[in-house]
Formats: sequence, structure tokens, C-alpha cells
Amino acid sequence: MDDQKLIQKYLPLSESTYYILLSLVEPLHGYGIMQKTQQASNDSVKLGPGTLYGALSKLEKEDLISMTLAEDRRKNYQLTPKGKRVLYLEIKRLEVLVNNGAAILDRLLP
Amino acid sequence: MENAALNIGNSLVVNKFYMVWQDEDEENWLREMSLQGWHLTGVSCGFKYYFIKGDPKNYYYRLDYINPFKADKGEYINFFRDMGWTYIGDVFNGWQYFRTENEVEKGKIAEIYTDRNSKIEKNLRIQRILLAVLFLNLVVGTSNFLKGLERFHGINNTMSLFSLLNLACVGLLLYAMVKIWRRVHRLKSRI
Repeated sequence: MDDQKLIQKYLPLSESTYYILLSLVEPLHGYGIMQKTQQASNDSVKLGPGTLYGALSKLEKEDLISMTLAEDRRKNYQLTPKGKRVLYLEIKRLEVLVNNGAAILDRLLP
Repeated sequence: MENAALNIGNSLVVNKFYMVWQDEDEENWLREMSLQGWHLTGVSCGFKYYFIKGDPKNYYYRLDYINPFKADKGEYINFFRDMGWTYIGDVFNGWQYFRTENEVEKGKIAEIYTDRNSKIEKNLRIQRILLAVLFLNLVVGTSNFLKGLERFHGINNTMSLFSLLNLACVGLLLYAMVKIWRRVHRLKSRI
């Protein structure tokens, strides 16, 4: 799929999805994703099991992440090449948003 | 609606009935029970609750709704367990009862759904099953009504009674669907 199609289909990502994909640059299980997200976002994004469970199965179905069974039979997830590309495009998109905001930030102060 | 409570020593059985849109009331009631030292150990048929006496605890209870024919439910339960939730039981129609493993600190609330999309999806799963049951009721009700007509060249009383019951079910189901739909709408209309 070319970038334009990926952008149309997946962006913008929800905050939860963004953090889930961000945590999955390395293989990780459900509990690890929850912890990593909470740390990275300074507790502002929490992932409950219901939310995470649904998101993981959806992302797997869309082939943005893939699952491997760890030795302890726990499921580990990791970004696929497609998932990497989507996350890359989202970060680039967010960069533009943040830069535009930063340019006028001082005019918003009282 | 609460009618009977059976108390034998350290255990308690309560019959209580909640409608499909009252899941949050049910969660709150279960938490109140735990605050009084009655901890849920099981549910059956959707109106029987089993409790055991212990120290009062600030547990949070959450009801999830999944497709009742879901494959690999063990894996789903383990996933919740790994993330600090105790599985208590389920009702045949798809409701799953979870409780926080430990007491929740004061001022904190424990949730299994933490974003808007997933809350909406849970409600849409409920909506889909309601729609399926509604459809079933319409089919059965219509066929009962027609059978009643043809058998006695007029309306057979038993059969028309059945289709009347079906009609009542359809009404209730529609009401439930409106309730759930409004909840989804509320979730969607937040900025």
C-alpha cells in the first residue's frame, strides 16, 4: 500500500493506538504495553485490559502488528513493516501539527 | 428489583434483576457490597449473585460484554488476569464479571475500558445481540400469529397469546436499544 492509502485508512491514530504502536518497536506482551504507555505518557494515558485487548486484535487483523508466542506461552506483539510505516507517517503528521502550534505559542500566553 | 436474600453463615445469595442498560448501576452495587464486606464469588442466569463474607474492601467491579460464542475465552480471561483483574464468572448471554485483584487506592478508579472508541465498541456489541434477539422475536411472533390464524379459521387463543408475548419482548428490546443507542451517541458527541 502506498503512503497516501495508509494515511487515508489509518490516520489520525487514537491516543491509545499511538502509544500501543509506539511500545511495540520491540516485542512486548499486554502487561508490558500497559506499563510502557503509562510511563511514557506520565500517567496521562492508561490502558485498561478491555481497551488493549480489543485494540491488539484489531491491529493484528489489519496486519499492523504481529503476534509470536513466547516460551511461557504468553503472547508477544511487535510492529510489522506496515505498522512501522503507519507509525512513521503518524509521527511526521504530528510533527507538522506541533511545529505549527509552537510558532504561535507565545501569542496564546496572557 | 431485589426480592430475596438468603443468608447462610458466611455466604449470601441475592436475587436481583438488572436491565441491560443498567450495567453501571450493577457495578456500583457490587462495589457497595464489597465495601460492606460481601465479596462476589459468582453469578448465575443474570439474576442470582453469590457472596462470601470477609473484611470490607474497596474493590471495583466491571462488566464486560463479549460475543457469547467467542472462541478462545481462556486467553481473553488470562489477558485480564495478567493486567490485574480477577475473573469472577459470566452469564450465558455474554456478560463477563471482573474485579480488581487488590483494593483500589482512595481517589482512584479502576476501568477496563479507558478510551472512547473501545467504550463505543462494547456498546455496539450489546446493540448487535439485542438486534439479533429482536429479529428472532419478530420471526417467531409472526409465525405464531399466522399459525393461530390458519388452524381455527380465526385466531387461536394460545397462539395469539404467544405472539402477544413476543410483541411485548419486541417493545422491551426496542426500549433497550434506544437506551444503548443514546449512550453511544453521548460517547460520540464529546469533542
